[in-house]
Amino acid sequence: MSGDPLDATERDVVVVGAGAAGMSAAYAAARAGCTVTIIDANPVAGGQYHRRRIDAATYRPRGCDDEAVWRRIHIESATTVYAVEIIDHGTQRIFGVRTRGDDRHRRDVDLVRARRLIIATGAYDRPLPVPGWDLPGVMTGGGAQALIKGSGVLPGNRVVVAGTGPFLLAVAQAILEAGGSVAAVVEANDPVALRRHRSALTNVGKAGELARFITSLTRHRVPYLRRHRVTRVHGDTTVTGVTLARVDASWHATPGTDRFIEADTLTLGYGFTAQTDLPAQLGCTLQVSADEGLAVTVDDDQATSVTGVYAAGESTGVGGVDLAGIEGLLAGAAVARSLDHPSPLRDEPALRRSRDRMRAFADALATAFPLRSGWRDDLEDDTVVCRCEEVPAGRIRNAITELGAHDARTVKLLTRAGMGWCQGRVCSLAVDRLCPRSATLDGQARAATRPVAIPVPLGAVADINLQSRRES
Amino acid sequence: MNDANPRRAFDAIVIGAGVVGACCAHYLIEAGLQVAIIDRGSVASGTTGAGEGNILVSDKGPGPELDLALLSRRLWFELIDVIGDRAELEPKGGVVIAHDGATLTRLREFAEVQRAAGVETHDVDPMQLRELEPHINPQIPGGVHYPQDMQTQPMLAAAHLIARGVQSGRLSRMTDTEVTEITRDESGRVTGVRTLSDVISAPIVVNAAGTWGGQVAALAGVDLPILPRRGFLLVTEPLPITVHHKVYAADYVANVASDSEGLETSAVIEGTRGGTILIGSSRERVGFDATLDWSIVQRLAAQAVEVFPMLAGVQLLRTYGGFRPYCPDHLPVVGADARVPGLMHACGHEGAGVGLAAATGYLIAQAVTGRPLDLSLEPFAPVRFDSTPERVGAHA
Repeated sequence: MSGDPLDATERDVVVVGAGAAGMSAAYAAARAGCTVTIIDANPVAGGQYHRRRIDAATYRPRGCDDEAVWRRIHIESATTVYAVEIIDHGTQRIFGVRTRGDDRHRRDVDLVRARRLIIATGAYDRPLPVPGWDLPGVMTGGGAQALIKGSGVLPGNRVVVAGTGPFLLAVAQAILEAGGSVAAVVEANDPVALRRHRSALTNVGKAGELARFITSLTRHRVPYLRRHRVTRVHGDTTVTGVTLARVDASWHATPGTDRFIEADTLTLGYGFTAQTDLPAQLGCTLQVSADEGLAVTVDDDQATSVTGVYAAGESTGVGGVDLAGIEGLLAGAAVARSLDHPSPLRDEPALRRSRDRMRAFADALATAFPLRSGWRDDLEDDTVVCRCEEVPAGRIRNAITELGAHDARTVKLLTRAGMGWCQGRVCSLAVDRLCPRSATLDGQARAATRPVAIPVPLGAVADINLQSRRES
Repeated sequence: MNDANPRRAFDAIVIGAGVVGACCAHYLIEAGLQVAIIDRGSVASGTTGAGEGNILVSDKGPGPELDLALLSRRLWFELIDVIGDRAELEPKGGVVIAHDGATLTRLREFAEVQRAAGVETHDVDPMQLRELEPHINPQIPGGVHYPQDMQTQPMLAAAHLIARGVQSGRLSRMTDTEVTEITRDESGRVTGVRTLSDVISAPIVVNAAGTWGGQVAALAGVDLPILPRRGFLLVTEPLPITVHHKVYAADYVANVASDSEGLETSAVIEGTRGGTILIGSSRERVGFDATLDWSIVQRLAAQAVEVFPMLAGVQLLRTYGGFRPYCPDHLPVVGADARVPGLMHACGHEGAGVGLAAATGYLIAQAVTGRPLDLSLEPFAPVRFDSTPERVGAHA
């Protein structure tokens, strides 16, 4: 389309996400000489880990401190990518990145063209349903952390932090540091297996961080209850407390171990789900990672299976902020090389070694905090599983036992679970695990394909100026 | 997880647990047969779960498909009596609109011919249009109201029909079961099917595999020219009722009947009981490629906003797509396959499978049990595409 004003916005690289991975990737690519735009949903860069208040100092990832490079990078904040597509399949492959501004009611949309894409969209919390979890006062661990870091607001006066994984400790720590009170940290697994990985822990410098979290809990007299689960949330209009139970290795509650804890807030988190919407739209190969969730498959250069598309950080498997930064640098460098720029990195082999070591550690950590099935016992027929469409567990069980649905997709078609606003981001794991047969990788990848990543007004989609392809 | 029923011999096997297969199974067990329904996926996992649930008469001109549709519409009410409100049947009617005077004239001529064939139609002017659809673009010069058009939730309809059969003890539900061969004896007559792990016997096999009907026919050694015709639908956020009927543009009928391989779109807009609005429709022949094409989304959205300007501010939540089973003459394949005794086909309904499912199952059951047919199956004969004189099997 010659003369198309949108051609002016064509960039060498569009990076989606301004967390540690995206910012590092953008920096590396720009340093090598590429034109780079970062698109990020948040008003300020930093991602989930470095989430900061709007007046805080600008986020700069480790090893990315040349301000002259940053001046060449365009950051489009408060802008979400709802779809990516391949506009030109020829030798000059061009991607279309469809964006929407912060206010979903405005038709503030754009189509940015890019020769390469770097996906650094991170991960989101993975909750599991429990009776009462739809009460005000229940939130995800990540949500609680974002409240504290982003707005300086405590999630509640007395918080129970529950789920599994080392992130529970980070959430508790954030609450304690902000002056809040944690009633208990409730960990469904017994991560003794971690001891086996002590050398790995030391290797990647994580041992100190975890030890500091544990010390902090002890100092504040916060019980760290391993092999325990919250089996019920109490309250009429808001949370007033939770029931805890001791659980076995499969997370089934041991009879007679119930006890009530008073609390006004519960955070839930059973690890994270990698945000794979955009690579799935493009048909990138996904894989099941060590935490049993889907992640984008990447090669040694952080390249996905689709030519021109790279990924870094949690979208390739949850591994923490340091790993994300290194993956970002490597992705940025690989993209630059593919556009005939020299590598901007001094010691790439050393970075690759660090990445591989940290990735192995992340996988080991995920294996130490597995997902078990005992939580399903807690669900009563009226426990809501899909909150958007208000689908209770009983209807899902009926679809399975009476209507013959064996997999999550059929349950979705018959009950509407996962069809609502969040498109199954919150409930799809639970629905999948309630089914007699877990979805195959293909099935999971299909369920994770959301052609419209976030809602966008029809009037904006209809806008002729955003037409990416010539009509035949 | 299949039913614990160890039975491996049946009176009939239905391949395909979509809405057409469910209706075939239903009417076969009503006729007293012991039936197995087999699907390589789950219930309603193919085209049934990828459409809007249309039960339409408005888009059909006089002829065998309209006769089938009118019979089917009547039978759908019987089915709903059987499974209750769970299939979300909405007899809400259709409104076909024309964007200009010339199209309106042609639309009304078409409606007059339909009226003569038994379809209830009412010409409507812009004012009557706004009474039917308060949010419609006031510049639309007019249209035709078809009170007989209906919509159902076809996945629920199929699943509940099948579940009811299972509960009656006359139907075995075998999902996640892939048929690898339709077995025959020396004379060529059907003896049952072979699956990846089993041999199941029955003298009758009904091919209700929809878009994959050609592949199932090939398992019995016969050709059936069924091709996928891709379609996408847009789904909005849930709203209070804003679109009351199935509203579509007159060019939809021409597009359905077209033989083009290229992309054709026409505005089709309707609400659902869940509150979402479904926006279609696109059709193109691109094989089984499911990749979303944003130029199609753009066209569908623009066409919908033109008909209902208020949709411009409504959020697009998701899209889904599927593959209609398309036959060269746009008619389904229903009835006995003269080339393979015992093989029946009930597939190739293109975009009308939900609407035509009830009559298809009903007529298949009549044919299987040798009762007089309510409607001739001649126009839907499986061999109508077959130009080769040789027939597989001895009873050609």
